[in-house]
Amino acid sequence: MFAYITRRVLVTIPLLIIALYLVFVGVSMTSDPRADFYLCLPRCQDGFDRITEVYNLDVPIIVRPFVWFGQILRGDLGDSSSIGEPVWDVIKDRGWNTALLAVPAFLISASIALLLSVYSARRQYTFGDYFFTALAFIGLAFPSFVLALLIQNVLGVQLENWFGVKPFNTGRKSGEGLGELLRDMALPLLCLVILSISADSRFGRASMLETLNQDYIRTARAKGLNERTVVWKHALRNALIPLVTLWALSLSALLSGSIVTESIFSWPGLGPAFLTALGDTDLDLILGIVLFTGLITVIFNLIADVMYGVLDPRIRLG
Amino acid sequence: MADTLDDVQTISEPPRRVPIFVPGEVEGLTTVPQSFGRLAWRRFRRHKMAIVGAVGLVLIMVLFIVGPMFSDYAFDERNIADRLQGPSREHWFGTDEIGRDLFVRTAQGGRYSMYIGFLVAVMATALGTLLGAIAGFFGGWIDAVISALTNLVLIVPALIVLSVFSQNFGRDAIGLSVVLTLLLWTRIARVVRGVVLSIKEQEFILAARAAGAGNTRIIGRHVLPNVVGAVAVEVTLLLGTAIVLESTLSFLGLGVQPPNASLGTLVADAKGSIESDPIRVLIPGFCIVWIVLCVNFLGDGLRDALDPRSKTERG
Repeated sequence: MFAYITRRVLVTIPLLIIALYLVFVGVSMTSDPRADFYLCLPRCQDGFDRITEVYNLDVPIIVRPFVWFGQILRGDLGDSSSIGEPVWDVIKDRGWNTALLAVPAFLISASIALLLSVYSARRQYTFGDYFFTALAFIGLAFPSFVLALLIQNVLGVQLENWFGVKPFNTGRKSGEGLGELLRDMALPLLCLVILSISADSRFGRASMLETLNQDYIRTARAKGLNERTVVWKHALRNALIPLVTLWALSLSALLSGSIVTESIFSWPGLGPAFLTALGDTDLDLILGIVLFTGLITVIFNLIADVMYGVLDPRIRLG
Repeated sequence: MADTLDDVQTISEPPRRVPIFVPGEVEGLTTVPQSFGRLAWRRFRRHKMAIVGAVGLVLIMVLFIVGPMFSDYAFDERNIADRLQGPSREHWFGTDEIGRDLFVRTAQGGRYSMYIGFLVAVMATALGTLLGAIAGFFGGWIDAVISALTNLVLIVPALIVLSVFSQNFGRDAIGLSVVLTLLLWTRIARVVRGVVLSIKEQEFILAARAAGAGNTRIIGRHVLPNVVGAVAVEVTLLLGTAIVLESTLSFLGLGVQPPNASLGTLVADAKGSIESDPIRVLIPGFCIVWIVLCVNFLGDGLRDALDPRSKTERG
C-alpha cells in the first residue's frame, strides 16, 4: 500500500509540473504585460524596464516557467495583479469561501442521493422509481448556468415580487451573523446540490441494483435475516464501493470552485477569481489556482483509488 | 471546476457492462438466428424512452431548420422600432435590444450549437477511439504516454485551454470544435482501451496473427469492429456533453463570438433583463435542456440495444 502511494505520488509530480509549464507558456504567449508601454516607449523606459524585471520578460519564454518554479519552491506564489493581494492570500480566502459552499453541498447531496438510490433500487420499475429517474434525467440535462439562472429568477426575484419581501439574497454582501450567512448560502447551495444529486443517484441506483441481485443477498434473505439488515448492512456496504470513488471525485470538483454557480450568485469563491484572472491574464493568480485545483484533483483521485482498494479486498493495488 | 466540465462527465453508470460482441455467444441461437444489427434494432424500438428521445431530437431539428423559412425576418436583421417586444404573432419569441427576431436567432443558435456538438462528437470519437485502441493494443510505454495525456487533460482547466487556443485557432465553429475535442476525447479513449485490452487476448486475434495478419489489419478488421457497440453509446453521451460544455463556455463569453450566436450566447444576452423578461432566458435555456434530455434518452436506449448480453427486456 505504502509503496503504491509513493509510486503514484512520484508519477503525479512530473504531470503537475508539465501541466503548470504548459499553462505558463500558453498564457504568456497570448498576453504581454508591457502592451500598454509600447506606445509611450521612449518616455516611460523606467516603467518598461521595471515590468520587464518583475515578469522576467528578458528570459526566453521556454525558460521562464522555471524561474516561477524556483519561486514556488521558496514558498512565494507571487502577487495577483487583478485583485491586488498576494496570490496565497487570495487562494486562502477564496478557497475558504468555496469550501463553505462545497462541503455542505457535498454532504447534503451525497446523503440524499444515497437514500434515493436505495429507494429506487428496492422499488425498481414502480412509480416512485420512474418518478425519481425522470427527475434525475431532467436534472442531468440542465446546464449549470440555466439551473442557476432559473433558481435565481424564481426564488430570488419572482418570489420577491410575489410576496413583497426578499426571501433570499444572492451573494455574500451582508453581515457576518450565522443567519445572514445561511441566507446568502441558500441559493447557490441549492443549485450545487441539485446538480450533484442527479448524477449521484443514477449511479447509486445502478450500483445498488447490481448488488441486490447478487447471490449472497439471496443467501442472507434465505437464512431469515430481516430486510432492513439485508439492505442497509449487507447490500449497502458493497454498493457503496463504486460510490465512494464517485464521491471523492465530485468533492474534489466542488472544492476546486464552481465557476458558473459562484459567478451567477456572486459568491466570492475560487471560480469567479479564476474568471477574473483569466480575463485580465493575471498570470500569477492563474498559475496559483491551477496549482491548487490540480493538487486537489490529484490528491482526491489518489484517495479514491486507495479507498477502492481498502473497501474491496479483491482489488489489489500494485 | 465543479460545474463546467465535471458534472457532465460524471453522467455515467457504474462499472458499465461493456458491450463486446463475442462470436458464438450471440443470443437467439435457440430459435432462428438473427443478425446482431436486427436484434439491436428490435431492442431499440421497444425501448420507449429511446424512441421518445429520437422523436424529440428530430422535432427540434425540424423546428430549427424549417421554422425560420416561415419567418419574414433574417437572423441579423435589426429593426430598432420593434425592440424588446414580448412574444407575439409577428415575433414568436419576441425581439431583443436591437429589434432582432428572437425566434430566428434561437433557431440559428440552436443549429449552431448542434453543429458544434456533432462536429465535436465525431472528432472526439475518432481521436479517442484511435488513441484508446493504440494504447490498449500496444501497451507498454505508448500506453503510459497516452494515460499521462488523459490525466493531463484532467488537471488543466478547460477554460485555460479554451482562452489560449482561441487566440490561435480563431473562434469560429471549427476552431471551437477542435478545442472541445482536445478536452473531451479522453473518456472515449479510456472506454476503448478497456475493451481492446480484453479483446486482444482472445483466440480469434491469435488466429488472425497466425494467418499472417499485420498489426494494422488486426486493429482495423478484427479489433475495431468489436469496439463499435461501446463507442456508439459513448458518442451519444459525448454529444450531450459537448452541447452543454459549448453553451456553458459561450455563456461565459469564451465560446461562440458575435456575430454568430449559439444557445449559450442567447442566454448570456438575455441574462441582464432576467428580472423583467424571464421568458427570453428561459426559451434558449429550455432548448438546451430539451436537446440534452433527448440525447441522453437516446444514449440510454442505445446502451440497452447494443449490449449483446441484454435480452429483449430492459435490463
